[in-house]
Amino acid sequence: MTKWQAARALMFGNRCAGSTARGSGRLRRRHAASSALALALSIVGGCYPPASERLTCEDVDPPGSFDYGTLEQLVALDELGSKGCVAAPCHSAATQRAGVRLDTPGLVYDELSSSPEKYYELLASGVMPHDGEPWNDDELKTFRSWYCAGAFPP
Amino acid sequence: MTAARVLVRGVVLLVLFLLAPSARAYPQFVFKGYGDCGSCHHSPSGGGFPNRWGRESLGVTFGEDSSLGPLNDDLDFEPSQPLELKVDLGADVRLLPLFGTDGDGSLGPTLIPMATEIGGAAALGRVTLYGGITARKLYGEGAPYAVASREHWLGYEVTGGVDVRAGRMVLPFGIRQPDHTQYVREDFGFDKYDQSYGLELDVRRDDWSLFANAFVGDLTLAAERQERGVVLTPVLELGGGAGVGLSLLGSTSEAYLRGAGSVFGRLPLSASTYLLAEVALQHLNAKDGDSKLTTIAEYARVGWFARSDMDVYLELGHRSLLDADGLRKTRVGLGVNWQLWSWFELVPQILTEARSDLPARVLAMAQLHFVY
Repeated sequence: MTKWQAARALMFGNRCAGSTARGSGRLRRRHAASSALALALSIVGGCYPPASERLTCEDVDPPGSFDYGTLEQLVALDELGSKGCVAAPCHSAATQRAGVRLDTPGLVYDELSSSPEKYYELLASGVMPHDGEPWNDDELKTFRSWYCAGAFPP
Repeated sequence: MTAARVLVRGVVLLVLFLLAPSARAYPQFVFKGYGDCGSCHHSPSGGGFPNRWGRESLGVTFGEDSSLGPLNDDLDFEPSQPLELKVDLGADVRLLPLFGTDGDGSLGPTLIPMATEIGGAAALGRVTLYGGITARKLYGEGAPYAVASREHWLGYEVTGGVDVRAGRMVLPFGIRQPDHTQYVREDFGFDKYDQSYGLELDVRRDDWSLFANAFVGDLTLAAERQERGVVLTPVLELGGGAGVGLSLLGSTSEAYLRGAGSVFGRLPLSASTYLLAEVALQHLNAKDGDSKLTTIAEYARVGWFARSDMDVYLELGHRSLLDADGLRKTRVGLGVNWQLWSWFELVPQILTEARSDLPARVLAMAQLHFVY
C-alpha cells in the first residue's frame, strides 16, 4: 500500500470511492487520476456515511401514511423496552449521556428534528441504542418517511 | 493565607487588570462579525476565513504585521497588475472544554472538537476562488471523520463594493453569528453544515448594503429536502456604527414551503459598549397534508470592550416552536472574547439554558480558537 493509499484509507476508511490498483504504469496513472477525481468530488460534496446509514428519501411512505408516534415511543421507551434511549445509563434525566436528554416527547422531537441525519446514522448503523436492540428496517423506514415529509411535529 | 484572602486579592487584581490603560478599540471591533462583515472576510457577506485586512486589524492590539505570515496576500484588485495571482491561506481550529449540570444529571467534563478547517482564497484580477475543507464528524460504524467542504465559491468583483458569487455558501440571513451558537442560526437552517449552492449578489455601500441570493439547496441532502428559493438582506447604516437590517427568505422543497424573516440591529451604547439584537420568525407549511411549524427566535447581546483585545458580553437567546406545544428554549450567557495572541482567542463562558419546563442546565466552558 502506498503512502497515499494508506492516508486515504485512514482518512476515509471504506466509505469513499476508490480501490487499490495494481498492474501497469498506465493503469496506475489512470488510478491516480480517478483517485484525484474521487478525492475532489468527495471534498466538494462531502464524504457521506455508507449508503445504509445515509438519510435518504428512497423507500419511504407518503405523508399521512406513517405515524410519528412510533418514533417517539421507540426513543422514549423506558427500561421495559429493548430499544429505548432513556433506560439507565443513557439519556434519562439523571444520566444525559453526551448532553442528550430524551425523557420527554418534546425533547425527543427537538433532538430528532434538529439533527435528523446524525440520529439516523446512529440508529441505522446500530451504534444506538447503545444497550438495546437495533432498529429494524420498518422502524428506520418510518424515520425516513417522517424526515422526507418535512419532519413536522405530531 | 485563607481562601477568602486569596479570593479578595484575585478580585482586586482582576479589577486592576481590566482598568489598565489599553488601546481603544476600533469601531470594527465593536461590530466584529456583524454589519459590513466583508471588510474583514473574503466573503462579502461575512464569515469564513478572514482576509488580510481582517488580520491586519489585529495589529491595533498586537502590533504591525503581528498576524501576517507567508501566503497572506492582499487579494484586493489592483488595476495596475490585473493578472497577478495572489493567495491568502488560513486555518481555523476550535476546541471546547466544558462541564455542565442541570441538577438532574451532569455533562462532562469533556473536550469537544468544534471545528478543524483549512483553506483560503486565491485571486486573479477580479476573480476570486474561495474554499475550505473540514473534518466532519461521522456517527456510525467506521471512520469517525470524513473530509467535507462547507463553502467553496467563485466570485467576481464587478466594481468596488459589488460582487457576484456562485457556489456553496452560507446564506445571508440575519446577524452572522458563528454557526450554531445561537437559535436563529441552528433552528433556521444556518447550522454548522447548512450551506446552500446559489448565486449571490453582494452590494456594499457606505450607508447601505444589499445581499441577495438565489439558491438551489444543499445538494448533499435528499432531493425531497433540498430547498430552492431566494433570500434578500438589505442593511441600512444609520451612522456612528448603528445599523438596522431586514432578511426575507422564501423557498420551496418537495416536502414544504418555507418563509422566514429577521429584523436585526446594532447600536453603540457608548465609546466601548454596544448592543446587538435580532427577532426572527419562520413558518413551514407541508405541501401534502396540513402539517405546519412556526418558529420564533430572539437574540440580544450587550458587550463591553474592557480592553482592546477583550470583549466582555452578556447574551440572551430564546426560541419557541409555536406548533409543537410551545417547545421553547432560553439561553443566557456571560462570557469574554479574549484575543490573547493574534493567533489565539480564549472564550470562557458561563451559560445557562432552560428548555420548556425542565430545570435549567448550567454550563461552564472555555472555547479555544486557533486561527491563522
